[in-house]
Amino acid sequence: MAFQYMLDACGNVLAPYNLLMLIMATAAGLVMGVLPGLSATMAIALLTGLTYNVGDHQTAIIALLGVYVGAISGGCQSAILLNIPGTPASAATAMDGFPLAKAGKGGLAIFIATTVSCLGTLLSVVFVLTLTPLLTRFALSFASWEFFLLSIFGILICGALTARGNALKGWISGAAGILVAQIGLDTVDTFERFSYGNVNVMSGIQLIPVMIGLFGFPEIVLAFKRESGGRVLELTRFNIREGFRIIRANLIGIARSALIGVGVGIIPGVGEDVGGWLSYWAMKASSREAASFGSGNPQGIVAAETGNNSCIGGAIIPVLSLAVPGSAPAAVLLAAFFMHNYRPGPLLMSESPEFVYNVAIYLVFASVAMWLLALGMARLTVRVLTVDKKILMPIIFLLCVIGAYLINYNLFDVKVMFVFGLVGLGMSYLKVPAAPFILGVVLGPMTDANLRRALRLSDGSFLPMFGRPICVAFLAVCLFMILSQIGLFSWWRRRRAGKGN
Amino acid sequence: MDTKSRDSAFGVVLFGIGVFVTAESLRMIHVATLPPFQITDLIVTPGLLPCILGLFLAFFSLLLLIETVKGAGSPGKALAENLKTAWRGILAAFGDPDFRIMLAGVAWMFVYIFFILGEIPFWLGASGFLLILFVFLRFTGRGMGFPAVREIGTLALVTAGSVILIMALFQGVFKTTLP
Amino acid sequence: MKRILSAALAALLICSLSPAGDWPNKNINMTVPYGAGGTTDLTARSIANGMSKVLGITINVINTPGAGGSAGSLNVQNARVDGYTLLANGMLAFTTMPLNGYTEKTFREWDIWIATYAPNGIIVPKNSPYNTITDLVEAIRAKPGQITAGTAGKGSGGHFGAEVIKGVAGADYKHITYAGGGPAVQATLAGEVDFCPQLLAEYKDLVIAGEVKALACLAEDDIEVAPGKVIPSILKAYPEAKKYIPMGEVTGILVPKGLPNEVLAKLDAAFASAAKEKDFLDFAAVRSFVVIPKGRAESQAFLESFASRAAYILYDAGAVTIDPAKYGFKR
Repeated sequence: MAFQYMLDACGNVLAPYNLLMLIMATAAGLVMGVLPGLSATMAIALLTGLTYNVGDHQTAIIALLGVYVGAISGGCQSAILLNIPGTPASAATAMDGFPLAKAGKGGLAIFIATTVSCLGTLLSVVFVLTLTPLLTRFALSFASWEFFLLSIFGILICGALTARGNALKGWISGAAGILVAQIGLDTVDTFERFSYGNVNVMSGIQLIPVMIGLFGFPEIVLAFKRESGGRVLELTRFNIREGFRIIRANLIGIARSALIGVGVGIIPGVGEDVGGWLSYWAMKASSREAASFGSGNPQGIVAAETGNNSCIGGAIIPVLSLAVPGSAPAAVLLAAFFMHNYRPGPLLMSESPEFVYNVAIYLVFASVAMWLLALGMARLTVRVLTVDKKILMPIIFLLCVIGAYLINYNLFDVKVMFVFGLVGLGMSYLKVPAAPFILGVVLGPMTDANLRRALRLSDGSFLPMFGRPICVAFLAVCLFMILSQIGLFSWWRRRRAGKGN
Repeated sequence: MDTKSRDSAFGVVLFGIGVFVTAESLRMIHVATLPPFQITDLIVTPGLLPCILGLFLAFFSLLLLIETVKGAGSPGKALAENLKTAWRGILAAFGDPDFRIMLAGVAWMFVYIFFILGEIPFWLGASGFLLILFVFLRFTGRGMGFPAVREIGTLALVTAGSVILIMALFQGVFKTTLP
Repeated sequence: MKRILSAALAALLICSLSPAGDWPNKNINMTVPYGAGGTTDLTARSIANGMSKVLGITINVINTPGAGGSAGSLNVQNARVDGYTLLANGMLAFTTMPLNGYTEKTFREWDIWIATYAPNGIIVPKNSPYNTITDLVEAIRAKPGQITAGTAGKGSGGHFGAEVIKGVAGADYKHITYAGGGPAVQATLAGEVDFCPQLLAEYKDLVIAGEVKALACLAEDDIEVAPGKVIPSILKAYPEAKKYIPMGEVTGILVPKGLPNEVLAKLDAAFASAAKEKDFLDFAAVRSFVVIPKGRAESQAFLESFASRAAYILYDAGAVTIDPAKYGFKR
């Protein structure tokens, strides 16, 4: 039965019209992913409107999944080549991607990133098809305490990873990010925080303008310097064999990142951005070359891109089984499913059992299409970077402006982008990493609402935290990270060495 | 400016921010107890997390400051020294041509976003912005001097081309409206 | 060279001088002040699609969640009234915004088209000790202020449902707020709250599949969600609840008053047509919405009584301190 459904789905996708739609949608998703400021969520939302009347519901679903895969994967190209993540999900890729590109290996980096993105999505589809019931149970065990600790955990990791050696600056950045997320009307009581009556500020600070500002402005403005004219990067031809060799050498890492990505994707409300970072962290923690992470170690790219792409399947699992979105783009996807009269949720298998298999097969085809299209597109994007930086950067600035505007068609967001651009310039000068800040803005609302909710449920007591297994695990890891950063362990080691003298 | 002075200045500023945020949150906690909110429970007051964060920032900034004066004889003196170096560095920056160019560029971006965007049709504002920025960068590039008319012409073409492409992509393909 | 340039410039000029003619000549933005996938969001998208067809442009649905729906609503209220910014909202949350202190304007300063009615339901987690609505009410009476209710925020449909329960029980519950109906239902699935009074439409499938237990609904009659699966009306167990019933969310499209008549007429026509679209009616049927399309005048009349009922529920429950009479709401 399942096999029959899958064959039918293949037949659907291979129909000429649908295939064309898939290719166009994936390409559109890739483009939107590459363009800084257009996120996957936005891309799916834009396309939902466009495909509503496209007639055959299957075609629309194919197109939407294509855009999803394309957008999440496309972000790696701008992250690697420009150090400006095209989507928040690719922030971790820029860590090692950009140094590699600066060393002239941009083509290799993109090849690796794209291939593991494809692999990540494929692996997550396997999870969708096999482990959905089990994984759904896992998703439901997350309640307010878990979400709160998860957000703290995410920030701690990101801070530790991005600030060489001393995580202090990273955590300052993360704390500042969470703080920025508090600006506006709070979600629980509608209380004005830091908004001083300004209506625009009351609706909060959007993530995308902050991201573009923090990552984009330093790159753009630094290009204004006198002697920076000339090619952005020198690009040597790369050897496909070398690319495959690196991938083959890291199969375990890929599997682990995919697992992490799916897990993160399943947790409602946490998505591709966190998935990339967690996978990166796990890879670095278990790698023998940990010290070279952040200076251009391909393993970093492998982890980050597999992680963020496997979130796609992960985020779709709760959509299908409970009608609960696993991430922001998945939420828009869910809305689209409803609009096309599907009923994701516990009744899906009885009402339209073929739907799950359709989605799985479409994702598979979308991944392959993405791989081919992205590599083809890479030749173009890479060539765009041979354009004089002084011409390229102003145009990129314009694209950033548009991206910021398109979130809510509000000029205020563009102004926010400018303000955070200035902040980003300052941070770049002070060597304070921007990525934890972004993660703080993403996870800030989760931190705040869940902390207060959890405390309200427990009447102010922190005790319940210690009775829940997942929470205890988070607490242990967080404590470990903080202690190791404070140098408690090295101090202890030094003392013992001193005693030996 | 070397790292120590940068971080000292940053630490001081950050400490100020931390104090400000903490003070604001305490005010928020107080306001929350009045109608119409009447939240008297500290655990659920909206000012809770901002207060915690403010304290964290202040604490972290102190840690940072401590790091910058580690190893020095008298921490207070070392800090003052660092801050003086930082201040001198800031003043010196304005003499740096690179810095001035970047400042001008940012100022032009500011003008575009806050005054031009949204007021006139997109293609006009964008083209004007791009063209002036291109010419300016060309002009200030190392050893360039004022560009010849032909160069301005090429830049204008590039401007026109990019704007048309952008408009085609966003308004035609994605069907969104531009500012 | 020069000719190419002038040709290009001319082309650009022609492109930009789009006729400032008839409304609508560009895409319209419809703000949904809740997250994507919720009932308001889906209803809005369904209607937006129907209206798009008639108006000939695309209506973009933009989600601006936060603060029980007031963030997005205030955005639209403060935006330019040019017919390109619409709001889709539930009337419970919307009409009670002045009472919560969000604004001084009432629904009478908006043009409103009502589309659907969705009743509240009371659900509990799968392994909850409560099996009937009486169990729950008795528990609330026994432990006032301790039984937790998960809702989408102050002023949401769920909040009203909880207030009805509070009125019936005569004792308070503990209000736990989430970022929307979806998260509130999720929390119920995770067993974090004791009950959830959100709209039935938001979790109908979960009830049918047995993932949650439905104790009652706040409509006048029982609701059959699936053959053999009936959710009793609360009136069966507590006939004294009649003064609150029917309770549920009424969703519609809104725009601040001030648009020219031609634009309003076009909106009237587009809305009426959208409310008859087969896709919309199917969508409503699947989710157990009742389609009750109303034009602008009808909506205002309907809301006079509906808003008053909602306002006094909140006021009598002590959830708001501003007297509804201040805004002309009569009992």
